[in-house]
Amino acid sequence: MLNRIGVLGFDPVMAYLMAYDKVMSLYEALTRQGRGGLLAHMIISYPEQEELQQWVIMAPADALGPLLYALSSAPKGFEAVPDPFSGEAVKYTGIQSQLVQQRAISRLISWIASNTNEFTKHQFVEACIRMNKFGERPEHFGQAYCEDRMNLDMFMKDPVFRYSRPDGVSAREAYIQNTSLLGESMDSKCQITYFNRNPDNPGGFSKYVE
Amino acid sequence: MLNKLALLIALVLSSIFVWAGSAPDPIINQAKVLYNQRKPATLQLREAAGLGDPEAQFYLAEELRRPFFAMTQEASMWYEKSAAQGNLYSMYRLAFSNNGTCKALQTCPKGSKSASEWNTLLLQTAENRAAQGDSEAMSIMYLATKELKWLEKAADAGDPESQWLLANRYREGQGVFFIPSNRKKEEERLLKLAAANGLAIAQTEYAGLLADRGEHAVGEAWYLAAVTQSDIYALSGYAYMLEKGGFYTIPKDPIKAYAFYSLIAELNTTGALRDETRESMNRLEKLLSPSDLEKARSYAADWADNHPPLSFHRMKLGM
Repeated sequence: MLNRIGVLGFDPVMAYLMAYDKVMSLYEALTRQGRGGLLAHMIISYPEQEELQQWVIMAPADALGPLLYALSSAPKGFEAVPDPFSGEAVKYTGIQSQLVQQRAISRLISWIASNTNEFTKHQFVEACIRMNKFGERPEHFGQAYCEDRMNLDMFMKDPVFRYSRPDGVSAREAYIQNTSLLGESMDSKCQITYFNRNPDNPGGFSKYVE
Repeated sequence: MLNKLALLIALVLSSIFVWAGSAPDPIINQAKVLYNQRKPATLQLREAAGLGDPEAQFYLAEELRRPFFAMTQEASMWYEKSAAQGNLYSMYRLAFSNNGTCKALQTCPKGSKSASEWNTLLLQTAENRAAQGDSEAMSIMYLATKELKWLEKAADAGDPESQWLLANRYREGQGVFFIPSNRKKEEERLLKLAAANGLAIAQTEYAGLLADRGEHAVGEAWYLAAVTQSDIYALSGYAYMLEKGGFYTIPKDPIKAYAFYSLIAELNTTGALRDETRESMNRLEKLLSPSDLEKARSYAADWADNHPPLSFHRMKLGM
């Protein structure tokens, strides 16, 4: 539990002060699809990045999976609604959201890759397999990896703000480098078919082949 | 080329005018500079808020509410002081704040009014001001009611943040356009207006839009307008462009790149930006000679002396 909260950059002491169900609902609220922008913003702006990095390196795959799932969810500009989270940041746009989500995904993955070894490679592959709301491991885990990894890749391909915010350019480049290293054991088993030739948005599907 | 130069000169002059024109009480000014640099500013904001500045009171309350966005007794008190002076943003926070965390911790402040009472007061005040042509009040009406017509009114009345936000809302599919191609035209018109009105984020977004369709020289002039305003994201991006090359018509210049990274590093800001800036500087330190690094430091010092303080240009009720 504390590992999950730590991944979100919260002080574990605060977590103790809060009732278990409140903590869980906070985690679930933040990792819910559509909340990716706010979650990403919290990761990117968390003051003690090294502390967050340690949490991520130690985080179990069933905590990282839902994070990646939420971070790669369709971005949505926050609007003025009296909602616990979206009401807090009203002047925000969908495209800003997408950029910060890409940066947060790249940052999490670069932390995992900062000391690439068999453990971190396994952690990354398992996190991809568990990219769902509750971090569960599907029975057909190979196919789950191929599909989730492709969803993540497609999300990261979009050259958001290419000329307006080059931090997105560097984040996308780092993502490609790090994921090809961390996912090498599984990537060769994913047979990818693209729908079109647009390199920024090729569409397609990925099939697991043993 | 001449057009590009004329545009750049006009933008530089207008940003210098804005900079020189804003000279409130030095204590209040300094507190707001720090807040806009996302630096710890609670002490300075407390002093400025104590002087009665409603905006400083709002900023202080915003600082006190973090982390967790939880409303605290002290934050609530400063929002109320600011709202009593008619600050619409403070009224908005009092009307719409998240009380989930303070309820869980049983620390919710007891304010003078309930959230719904604040909402009623907010709507009354903002609507009255909007009727008198106050574009900021119109934008608050949009945030409070979610009705796009208010954002359109605010943009028409010349509020740059509303022009930028409306361009984005249209891009996200909101609004009705009978001729689909008009949506794109309207987005661009609004973004250009917001950029011309000096909004740094609109200047970089408009620059990107132009570059995406191949108008690199004009795009670059708009991007540099945001750099000239010392916008931190624009500066950080500009440093990356100078380091790597291939953006607009900006040539590679690692010395200048290092200079701009070092300006951001000096801020000692928090979050990913700090770490990413340090990583970039480490990369360049391996390439540059000691005399190059000296040149970069000197360039950075000159630049800082001739430009406004670095700023994230934080939007109220934004990120």
